[in-house]
Amino acid sequence: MITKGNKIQLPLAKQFVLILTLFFLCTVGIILYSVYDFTKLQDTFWNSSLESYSSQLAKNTMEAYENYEHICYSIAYNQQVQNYLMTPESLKTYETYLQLESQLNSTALLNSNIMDIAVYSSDNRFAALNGSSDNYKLFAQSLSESRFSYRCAGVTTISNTVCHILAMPIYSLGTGVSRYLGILFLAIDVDSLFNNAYDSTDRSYDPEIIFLDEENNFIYGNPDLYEVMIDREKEGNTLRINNIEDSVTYAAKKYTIPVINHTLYVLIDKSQTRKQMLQIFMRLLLGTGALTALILLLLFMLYHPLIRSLRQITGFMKTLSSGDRRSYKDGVTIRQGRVEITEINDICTAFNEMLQQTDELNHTIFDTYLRMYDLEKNNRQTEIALLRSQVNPHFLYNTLTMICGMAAEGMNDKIISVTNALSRIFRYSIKGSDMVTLQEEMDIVRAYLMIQKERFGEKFTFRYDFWDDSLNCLIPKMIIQPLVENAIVHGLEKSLRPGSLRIGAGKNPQHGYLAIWIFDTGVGMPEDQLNKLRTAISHSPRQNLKYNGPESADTETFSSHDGIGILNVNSRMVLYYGSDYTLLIDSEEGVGTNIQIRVPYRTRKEEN
Amino acid sequence: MYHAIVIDDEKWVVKSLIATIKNQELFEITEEFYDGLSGLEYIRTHQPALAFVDVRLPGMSGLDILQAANAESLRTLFIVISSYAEFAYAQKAMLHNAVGYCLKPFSRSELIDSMQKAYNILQEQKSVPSAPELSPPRIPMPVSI
Repeated sequence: MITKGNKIQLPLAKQFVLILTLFFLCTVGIILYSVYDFTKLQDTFWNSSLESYSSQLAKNTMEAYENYEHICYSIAYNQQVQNYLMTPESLKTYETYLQLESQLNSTALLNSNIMDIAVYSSDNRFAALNGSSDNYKLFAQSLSESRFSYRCAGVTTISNTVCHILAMPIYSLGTGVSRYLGILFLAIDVDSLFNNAYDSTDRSYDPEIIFLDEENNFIYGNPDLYEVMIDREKEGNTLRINNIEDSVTYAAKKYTIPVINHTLYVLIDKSQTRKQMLQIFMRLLLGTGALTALILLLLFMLYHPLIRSLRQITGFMKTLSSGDRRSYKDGVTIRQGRVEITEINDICTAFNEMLQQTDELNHTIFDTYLRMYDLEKNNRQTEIALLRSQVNPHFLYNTLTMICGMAAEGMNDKIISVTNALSRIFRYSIKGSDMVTLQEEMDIVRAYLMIQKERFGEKFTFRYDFWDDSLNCLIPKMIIQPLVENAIVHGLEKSLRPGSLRIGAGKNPQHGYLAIWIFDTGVGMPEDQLNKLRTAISHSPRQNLKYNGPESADTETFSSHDGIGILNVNSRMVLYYGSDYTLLIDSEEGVGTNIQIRVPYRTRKEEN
Repeated sequence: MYHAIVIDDEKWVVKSLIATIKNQELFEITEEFYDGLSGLEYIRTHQPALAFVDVRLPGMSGLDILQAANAESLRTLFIVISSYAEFAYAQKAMLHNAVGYCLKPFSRSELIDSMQKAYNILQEQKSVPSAPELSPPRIPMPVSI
């Protein structure tokens, strides 16, 4: 991740992942919250329904026991029963007994939960439908001593069924003081009572019932549950949650059955609902997970090619910017899957086109540079050629004039040699290569000097001084002849007395270049003129090449053709070798002038 | 036939000039000088009718000679000979009262033309003997006191 100012830069793939993660988290959050809400709602709902259910159950139980009370009364004060009890042991007992039995039977049929009805008279006579006197003996003994009304006697097993025994004292019916006759026992199958008490079709509740008598003795229910519950009851809430082993959670409600003052506990396993909630939650979560995965897959399928293509493009662009020129030609090709993205193709095409144009542009620029360079070169060559061809025409005029004079005198031999020399000089200046040996240049210079000597006779003498291997050195063409001409025209010709011209060359020991000197004992030049000349030399060769027109003020030295000699040679030297190789001029008025040329020392052997 | 001199430092030029103006009745070259000073000296002393003067001479240039002649009011007419075809030179020469400006190598017609001009001037001068020297118009020179 890159942060610039207040902008953040993230790769595309990471952005997607981030969005998806956020989405997933939000969804999970929503699910959790709604599950929580839902749980609360369900709790409330459930509690109220639990409330109504258990109260319904209690009510049913209450009604049942009231019902049993009524039954007890109806039996107790039934005539047959009374007859039986009031009749002592006698012959009629059996009759009364049978009547009693039929009465009891018909009563028992009233309610399916009644297991047994027993009558225990005070004189230890016993009658029961199903049970035996053993069942009731204990109860009767414990009860007969005390005064009681309809109450619970205890629990016993009759006919393999655990029964809840209800007892009621029987008093005589009739006028006068009612006599205690005996006890009526009613055996109730609590199991079936409670099983029928609630709507067994509604299995979602599946309650646990604990039934206690007035002395909190256990009558019916799960004994372990009872143990735990008793412990918790000490905390004292009407609605409390118990936890037993296996982490089952119960919600308990306590009811009192007022009829017999029993306590009824309805426990409903809460954890069932919790399990259901958990199931729902897991399903939702799974659903969200699946959805997210699906979205991820879709996005991946759609956008991975995009991201990959983009990466390819950016990778390619980076290689370009790092300077891989070949890529310009190749362009970029991106492999996409079956389904291609239009924009990517557009980008590719446009980019490749741009690359191609850039490539062409580069070529054009390169070509232009080449041509410019060629032009420059041509330009220079033209300039050089032009300069080179500027052999002083005056020399021509003067020589021709001389030939004319020679012809007038009939000096044919001289004419022949002079014209030969002249044509050689001109041919040399115009044709041939740029570089010649010092020897070749000096040949022409000698020819030139021969002509001049003819013209001026004894006016001047020449001397040559060539050191080492200097004659084999390569120098540009036409650098000595113009300077020699200059020396003669501006130096020696003007002098009244005879002068001498010395030409020499040698290798400079310190710097290694070839030095060529042209020394004349002519009129020299005054200091200001010398300075002007030196300044002109140090300026750009372009200026020196300019053909000074007739408007030039200084007609003596820098007039159109005269001044060109030194500047011409200087310009060419600079063009060839650079500004380190300008001419060196020294002069003193009335004494003479020395011009030195410097050339890099290269012999013909080296060049080959 | 008038007398004429040549002042030029190249003997071949002199020879060439003489050869070119052969066979005419205007002027005859009688003397040759190879430097300016001696030529001027001769002009002063002998006052030839015509002098051919090269522009470029050692010591004194041809134009200097013309200038000096003007200053000294010498009667000699001048024809300037030169290799330079520059207008500047010709103009200068004409300003100094040259009769003509001829280029080297010599062209006979050119030379004859100039010589004819000089000849006519001399003839005119002759025909008006009483009048003071009828010389070509001069540039008034400052008179030094």
